[in-house]
Amino acid sequence: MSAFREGGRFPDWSSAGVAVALLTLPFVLPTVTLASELVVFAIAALSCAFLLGMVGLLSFGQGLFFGIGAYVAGILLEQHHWATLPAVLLAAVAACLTAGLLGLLAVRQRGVYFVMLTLAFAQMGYFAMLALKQHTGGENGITGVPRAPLLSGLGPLAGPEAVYGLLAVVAFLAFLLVQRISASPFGSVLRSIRENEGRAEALGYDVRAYKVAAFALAGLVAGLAGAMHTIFLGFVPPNVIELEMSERLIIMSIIGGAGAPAAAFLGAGFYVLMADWLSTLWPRWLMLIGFMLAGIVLLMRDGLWGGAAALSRRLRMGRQTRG
Amino acid sequence: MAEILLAAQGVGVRFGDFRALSEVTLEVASGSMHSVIGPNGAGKTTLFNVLTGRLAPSEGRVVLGGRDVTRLPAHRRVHLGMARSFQVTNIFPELTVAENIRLAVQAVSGREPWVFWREASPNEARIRALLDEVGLAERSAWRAGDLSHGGQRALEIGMAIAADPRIIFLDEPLAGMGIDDVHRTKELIRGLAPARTVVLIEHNMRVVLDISERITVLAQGRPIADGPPAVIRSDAAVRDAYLGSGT
Repeated sequence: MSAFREGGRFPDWSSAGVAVALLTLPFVLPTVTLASELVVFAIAALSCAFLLGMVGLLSFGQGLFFGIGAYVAGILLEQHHWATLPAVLLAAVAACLTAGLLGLLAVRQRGVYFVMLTLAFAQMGYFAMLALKQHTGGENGITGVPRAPLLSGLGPLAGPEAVYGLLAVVAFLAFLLVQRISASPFGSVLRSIRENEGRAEALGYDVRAYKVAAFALAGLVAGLAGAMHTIFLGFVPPNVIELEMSERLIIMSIIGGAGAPAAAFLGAGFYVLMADWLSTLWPRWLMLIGFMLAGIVLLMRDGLWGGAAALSRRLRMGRQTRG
Repeated sequence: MAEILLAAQGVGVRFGDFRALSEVTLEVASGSMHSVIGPNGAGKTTLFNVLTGRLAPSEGRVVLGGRDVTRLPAHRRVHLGMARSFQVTNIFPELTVAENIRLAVQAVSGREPWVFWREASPNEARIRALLDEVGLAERSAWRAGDLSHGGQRALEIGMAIAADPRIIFLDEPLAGMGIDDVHRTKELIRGLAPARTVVLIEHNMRVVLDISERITVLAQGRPIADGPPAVIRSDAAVRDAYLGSGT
């Protein structure tokens, strides 16, 4: 049930489940905007969950790569009038390369020290954004990002439905990529590193190289999510690269459970919907999210996904004993 | 004398002010069964860590097949034909027994570990043969952490030989084993040479004296004797330092 832990198959029923969810979300939820926001954060949480669930790396820096993706896409679209797809692609590659470079440093440390380094990177990202004010707009962000055509020559991305369609396709591809990796030889190496790093090294695996590769890959996915965020909002708010963004992504993946790629989608969905609902009830709604996170960590260590898996196991066993 | 496969030359290791190893010189002949013995704290495992690349020595050199590997990290040495097992059981407890072995085989399968676009295509016959060799074929689908202590020790050896190494380091493979397991594992280890070179740390003197061709004795981080079992058995310094009376 926990695909990151055991490898799983590709594709499996959860691939179909995610496809169905992506197709029905805009009809089930009150607005397409809410569905779009959910999908953007699902991609971003996937990046955290991949590192945490599969390699055992807790990164407080995924907000940085999300931010880089958002800004690079914003700059290319607004200042250089690129088409959407090339802008998204370059944004993701920029985040991937940055993550690869920072990864080279971060993997020199383990445990808490690794976490601290990623935290430091995330913090530096925000100030780098302020320092590069003439490109990033400083505290004002980048406004008026146009809805450029997918490729130059095609018509513009007309309307929120078209944007949602693009988001959903990208989310599904990111999901399949992570799921494919999870059930591959490379994925099995990452799992062995999470299980017992010293043993993986003694078997002949260059543990640091695999960690850097995983970190770069997670950066790619986070950057993709950031670029999607820009396209969906039509502007780049500075909070995309704030430390709080990293925190939010971690919370989403922990709520979801980080046990499988689909768990990240579940966690992001839960967070975005709760935020949407709770914020209408009480301006201090983040406090309620805090309570919820504490409850999940205390009662369901494998998050919502793990809880759902345990429930379905119990139901199935109940049926077997009765049958 | 046979060709020297592995040599340590003047190896020393310092941890702060503490000298764990000093001027250790050691020559392991190709295809031999070479044991390293000594009292607890003599530096045997530290020596293994230096020879296999887990620890960089403060001084001295390690030469494998004529090549200086002193600064080579552990994972690179595996690809030069070095493998090891650990004193404290070191496996992937949450994965199945077969997956533990598969990971060990995959590690030396060229670019295969970097493949991310398809399923693993394991060499089933090879995995089966390894499981048979260490007597775990029946339990291949078990979670490795659920194996008995003896089973986990056997798996550990299986993972070390999975890389088809030229030289294999076994750190107390018999520790904590029951009588039946000891005999079976002894025969397993004996069968590794002469196709492979074996370097063995072991406290079970009966086994060491029985299967070794050469024994190096360490005490307080220094080699105090080196020779065939018959010579070691009658060495006065060794008796004082280690064997004591009656062993």
